[in-house]
Amino acid sequence: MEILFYIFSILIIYSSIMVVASKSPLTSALYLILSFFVLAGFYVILDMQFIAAMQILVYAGAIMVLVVLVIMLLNLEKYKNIKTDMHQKFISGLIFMVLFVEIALFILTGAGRKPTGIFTSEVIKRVGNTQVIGEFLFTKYIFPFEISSILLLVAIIGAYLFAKKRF
Amino acid sequence: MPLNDYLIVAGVLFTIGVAGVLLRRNLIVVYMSLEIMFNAVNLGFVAVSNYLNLVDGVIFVIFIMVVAAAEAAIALGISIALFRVKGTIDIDSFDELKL
Amino acid sequence: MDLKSVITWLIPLFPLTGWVLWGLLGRYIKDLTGHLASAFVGVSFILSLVLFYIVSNSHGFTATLYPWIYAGRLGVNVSAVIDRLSMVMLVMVTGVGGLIHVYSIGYMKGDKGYARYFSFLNLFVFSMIMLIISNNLLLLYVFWEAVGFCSYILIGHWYHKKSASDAAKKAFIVNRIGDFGFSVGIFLLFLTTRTINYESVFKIIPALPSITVTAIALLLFAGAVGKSAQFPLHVWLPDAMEGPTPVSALIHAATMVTAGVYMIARLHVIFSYSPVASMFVLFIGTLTAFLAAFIAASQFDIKRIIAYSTISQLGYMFMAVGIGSYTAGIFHLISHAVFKGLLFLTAGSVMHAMAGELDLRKMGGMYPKMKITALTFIVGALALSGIPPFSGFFSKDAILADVFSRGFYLSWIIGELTALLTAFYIFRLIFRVFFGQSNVDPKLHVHESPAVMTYPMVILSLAAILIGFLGMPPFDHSVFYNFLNVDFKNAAIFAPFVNNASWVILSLISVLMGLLGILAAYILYIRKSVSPERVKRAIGPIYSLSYHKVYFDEIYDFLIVRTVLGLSTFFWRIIDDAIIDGAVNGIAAGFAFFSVKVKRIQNGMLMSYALTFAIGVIALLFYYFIR
Repeated sequence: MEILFYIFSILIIYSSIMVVASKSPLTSALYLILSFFVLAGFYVILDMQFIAAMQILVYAGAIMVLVVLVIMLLNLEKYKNIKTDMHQKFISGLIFMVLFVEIALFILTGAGRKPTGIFTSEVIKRVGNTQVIGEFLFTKYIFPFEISSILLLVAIIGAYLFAKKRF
Repeated sequence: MPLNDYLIVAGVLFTIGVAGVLLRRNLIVVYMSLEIMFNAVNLGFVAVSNYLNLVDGVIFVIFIMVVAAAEAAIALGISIALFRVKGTIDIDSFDELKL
Repeated sequence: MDLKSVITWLIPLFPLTGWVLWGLLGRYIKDLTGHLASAFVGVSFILSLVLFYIVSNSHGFTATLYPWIYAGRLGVNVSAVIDRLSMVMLVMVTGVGGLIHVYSIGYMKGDKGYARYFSFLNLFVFSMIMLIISNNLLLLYVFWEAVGFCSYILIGHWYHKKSASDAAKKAFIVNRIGDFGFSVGIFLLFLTTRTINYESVFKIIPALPSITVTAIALLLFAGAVGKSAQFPLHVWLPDAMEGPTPVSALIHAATMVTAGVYMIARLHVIFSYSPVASMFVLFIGTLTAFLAAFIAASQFDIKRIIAYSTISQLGYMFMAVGIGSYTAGIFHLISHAVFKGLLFLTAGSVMHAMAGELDLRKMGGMYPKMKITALTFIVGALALSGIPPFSGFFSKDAILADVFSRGFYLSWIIGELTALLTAFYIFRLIFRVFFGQSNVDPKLHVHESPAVMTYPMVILSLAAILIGFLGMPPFDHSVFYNFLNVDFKNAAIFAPFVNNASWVILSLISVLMGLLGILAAYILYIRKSVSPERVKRAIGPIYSLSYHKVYFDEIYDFLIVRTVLGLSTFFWRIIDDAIIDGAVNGIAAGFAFFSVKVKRIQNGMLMSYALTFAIGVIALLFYYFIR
């Protein structure tokens, strides 16, 4: 398991860096799909197979197909040469460093908490991953669930309006 | 695996996402960097939820996915609309927000 | 609601409807407005007579229309108190008011604001009716102000004339001064008694400490001083002559100025339980009666003379209510309303004939040309002078006899002197206008007024002759006294009768005074055996004091107007312009300055926004880290 974790970690960091660093948007998109798959692997390690499946279906499947479609549609390959100037690089690097140090310090100095819940890996395995999530989603979180459906409706209408030729 | 290892990986991903947003000027790449940041947060949620033996974090991941899907639709719609008007997706050419 | 209540509320409804109708439709019905408005008030008058008949054969009642304000311990209904007092007033107001409406048809013919004039004339009558029948102090106060507002509108009817609009403003502002005291009085009354309905107030008043009652009564009296033009707030009334003459008649005779007397009579319980306040009322009344008559004796403007005579006669009424002779006060109010309305209408008729000329010195010898006007004017003047059998004799004598028998001898002497002056100034007016040689501008065609104006004058003069007999002396056995005095049975007797003076002797003295005044005027202006110029020189300072109206306007101008103007200029220039505006503008300028600087941040570049956002996140994290 540990070996898997390290492989995944290296893979996801590498692919994320490549998303940011590669010149072509299409290459970035492909690296992003790779990172999504690796993330799904992480979820499997953490005993969340349902989320792993969702990750691949929603992100790697739906969203990334959309992104790649847009890149193709706009023929973005010819915009490879949008250059970043030096002071932008400098500021981004600075912020990258400071933010990373702060997050690392936060994680490392944070006071540890003892596990409090009842849903240990054994329980989840016995009951079944999907059933546990489903019960929570349709009882405790029913209201946010309904709200998110309205959010999606708004997004559909918004996307339709934006994509229309004439407003 | 200890929790901190997962969180460090999530932190690295998040900072890479931030750097991408600040560094790149291609609107689509900026959007993809945002997705990296989302994913970093998702990883953190699932790891912590697994450590504390809770399910609530996983539920949050689902909601974040919903929001990300909605955001994808809107962001890409805006990209197309902007591209149609401006003929480019260099975000430095979009300065209509100023007074 | 039973029939009585329906009739009660129909009486104010007609003038109110009239106000709305003429205001909205006046331009379409044009010349008919006057006739319709008069008819509406006429209907009110007939209804008042019906109600008067009902009430005089039974007893008073309270007619509630609807609950008005209920908040905490304050409960106010829109309801009418109908008793003999309010009925007498109602008949007087609608009757005299109706006649003035009819007269106005002729007087205001061809005026540009014809419909507006009648609309507000109706509103004036409505306000006065409501003022009379309201059964609580809040409703009274509302219509107390409404009457003031109507007077403002009507005095300023010819608003394009600066003097008219100034006079209107003056009337309103001076009234407001008195009304301020009035409102404070109402607040104090509510604070102490927790109610403002007349009946409940009257039940509580006897139990209150004398000092509180005195304070309330004096504050309420301040309102009466303003509204009834008593010293020292009388200055608005003579200036109010700038309005059309029928308006003056309405203000002086039927509405407005009588409100103060009526208010004291209505609230007699409060005043009678405070001898101090009542004595103050007597003092102000006596002072005003004399001063106004004194000023009137040397004026040359015929309307001003009559205006000062109104102030003087109101002084008599306040003397009456100040000594607790409420019935006598109301009787004088009624008879004064009739003959003062008459005097104003006839003065208006003279003005009409003279094309708006008001100066005594430019008149004379008009009797042959306008006999009806002259005769009716003389009837009014005789009534004012207190010559029997005209109404003024009975009513004024009732007051003076009461003043004497209750032991206020000084007031009585001043009252008799005032009677002499009254007879003198009004006959000076008559002799110089209607008799003697003519000083009229020869180009003027002096003519009698049309019938629509003379009929009201004739009717009023008949009333002025007849109405006095209701109060045949001795007054406390007369019809009027027996009819009305039951309403004042709750009053405390604070000034009992101290002597048994015969009314015959007192009346004889009064009549003698009146005749003396007429004789003096006759000698000076008809026989001319003594030249008025010589008299003027002989009493030089006193004459100029009278001619300059005791310098009231000048004193007010110096003491109040200048001070207020100076203070206002200070507040305007220094406080407002420099400090407040400076602060506001300074803040605005500061923000504008910094905005220009800060604007740079908002450059529309997405990257810079994202950068700011990231820096914010870093700062927040840092804050949580060091916390």
